[in-house]
Amino acid sequence: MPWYLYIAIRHTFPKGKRWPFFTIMSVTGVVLGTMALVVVLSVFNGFGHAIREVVSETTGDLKVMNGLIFEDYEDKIETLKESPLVHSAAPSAFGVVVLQAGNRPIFPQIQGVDIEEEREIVPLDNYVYSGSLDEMDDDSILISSGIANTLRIRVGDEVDIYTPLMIEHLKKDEILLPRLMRVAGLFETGFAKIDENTIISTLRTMQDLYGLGEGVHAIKVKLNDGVDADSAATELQKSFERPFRVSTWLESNAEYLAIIQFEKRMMFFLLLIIVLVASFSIATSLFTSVVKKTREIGLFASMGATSRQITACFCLQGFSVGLVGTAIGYALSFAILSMRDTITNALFWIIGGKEQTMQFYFFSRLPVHYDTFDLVTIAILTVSVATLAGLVPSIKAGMLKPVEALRSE
Amino acid sequence: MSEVAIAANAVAKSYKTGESNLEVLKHVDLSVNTGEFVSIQGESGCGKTTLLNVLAGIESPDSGYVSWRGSSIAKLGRNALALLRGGFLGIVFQSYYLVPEIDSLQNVLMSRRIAGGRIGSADIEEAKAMLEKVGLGDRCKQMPNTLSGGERQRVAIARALLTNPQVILADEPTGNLDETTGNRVMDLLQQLCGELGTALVLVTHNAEHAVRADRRLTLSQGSIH
Ligand SMILES: Nc1ncnc2c1ncn2[C@@H]1O[C@H](COP(=O)(O)OP(=O)(O)O)[C@@H](O)[C@H]1O
Ligand SMILES: [Mg+2]
Repeated sequence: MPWYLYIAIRHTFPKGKRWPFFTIMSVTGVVLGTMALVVVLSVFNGFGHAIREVVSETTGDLKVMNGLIFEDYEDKIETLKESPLVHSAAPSAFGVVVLQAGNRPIFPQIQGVDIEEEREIVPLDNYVYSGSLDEMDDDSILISSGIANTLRIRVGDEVDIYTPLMIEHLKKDEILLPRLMRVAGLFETGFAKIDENTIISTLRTMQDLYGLGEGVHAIKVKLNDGVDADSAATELQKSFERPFRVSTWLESNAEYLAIIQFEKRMMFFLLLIIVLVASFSIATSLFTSVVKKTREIGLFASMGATSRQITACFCLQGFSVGLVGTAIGYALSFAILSMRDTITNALFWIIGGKEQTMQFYFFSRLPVHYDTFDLVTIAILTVSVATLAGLVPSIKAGMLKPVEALRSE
Repeated sequence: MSEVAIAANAVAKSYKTGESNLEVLKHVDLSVNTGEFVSIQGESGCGKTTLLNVLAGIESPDSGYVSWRGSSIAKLGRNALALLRGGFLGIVFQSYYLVPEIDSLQNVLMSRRIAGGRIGSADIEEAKAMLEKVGLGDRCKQMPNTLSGGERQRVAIARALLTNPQVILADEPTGNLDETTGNRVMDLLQQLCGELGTALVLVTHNAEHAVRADRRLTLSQGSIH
């Protein structure tokens, strides 16, 4: 071990003695900064992951579309099902309709699905919290919780559905009457985008409402467990000619996920400020230390230390503070996150409102996901910021003239 | 058989203090042979420390030059000089300057760490032997702040000698010690330098210590007499 590393470690963490004030203050700063970053970003990643899970569960893993309407979906589903990657595939058609209950109209998204096939892809039965899928026929629909709540619709109620097809008919001076449909069930998926404003009908009904004939808009695909969506999309694309495209649920919800990503980045930069503040405490205390150790610096120089070695000696003190602070910060973060249930329960016990909050976020516990890339980035960042903070006082130490250092009182 | 270990040739050094120019060293010629013991006396403020600093290459003279083992160090940069100094000379200061965070054994090892790099078990044995020689064999693990002044100076002497330097420059090494302790430290320094064949340049106020030298010099009015 070169002398400057040895002295750097002994200065910062003397053996058998309490840590010096410099060390305690600077390490604490780094610990707080790392903890803020690790805890907040891991929870953020946890939310992100939970949301991704919900999204892929409710929308299927892949979608095959050509941007238009296509009729030969049976063949395509057969092709897909032959692939060892694919668990199941089902046709779907979608659009917007007007739903009127009583005299209040709303404009929900409508999905027409083959109920039996759809069950293989999406856990529909789990989503239905009132009524039953078995009641579904071509004259009934499922309504999402958001709509059910705003319009106070219950199972068994009847609603009117108006389709864009009516406009076409009106142009030809014909009149198409709204279709009266019975509510067979109410559902909630946990994915707000769907739950707010969606109704589900049979594929047959949707084709009638939209005048699609035998056509559909898309084929939803569920992959076998453990199959990566991106590579599967590339693989399956080979079986389809343009303009058919196989896209992942990630792509279809890109803008939604981009917002989560953006929020995470903002959080990262905001929390980085804590690390920067900590770096100032390192810089100032290292300055003090350089002044206090001036004669020691003179001594080292008189024993043959080069100015670069002296700079390294102090720079390494910033580095070791960064390293130890980051290590402790990580240890505490993991400890806190592993006890998060206890902590959140304690918080809810104090402020109340556990039920509502959990229901609002659809999570039974605070989700956490450790992202290796994030963790490594945070560690490298905090250690380098700490080292850089020590650079200015270290260079000052290296530039001290040995005579002046030795003569200083 | 004896060759020159360290020499000052027509060295002059002055300090600018505001308007006036303080000529501390006017014309110093000094040459110390290997294994020789030279003492330098002089009034306080006459420039003894300055001379030692110039000899050590810590400070550069305004004119004249210093040579180590016969070659001038005037052309060497700070870092080249630093590297050379580590193996060539040891300095003992009036106020011992131990590193407070490490024990006495590690303080002794510091000179070798800086001069030589890696420390092996052989170095540790040598350092222990050196502490033994200065009478502190049982104080290896003691921290500087638990040692008395005399003990600290002995640790500093052991540190200076561990690199087997050719020259020891001692700047009033007993100046901060009481008489009895000072005498003991002086005995030790003289004895060890004699044993190891190290040249000793001793700056002192103490006439009794000065007379022990092979050659007894005085610095006054900026030159050696
Ligand atoms: N950097 C400096 N600037 C100005 N004057 C100095 C400086 N260093 C030393 N001196 C002056 O030089 C003279 C000699 O100092 P020094 O060599 O320490 O004397 P000694 O060691 O003999 O007591 C003193 O008068 C001191 O004030
Ligand atoms: Mg002096």
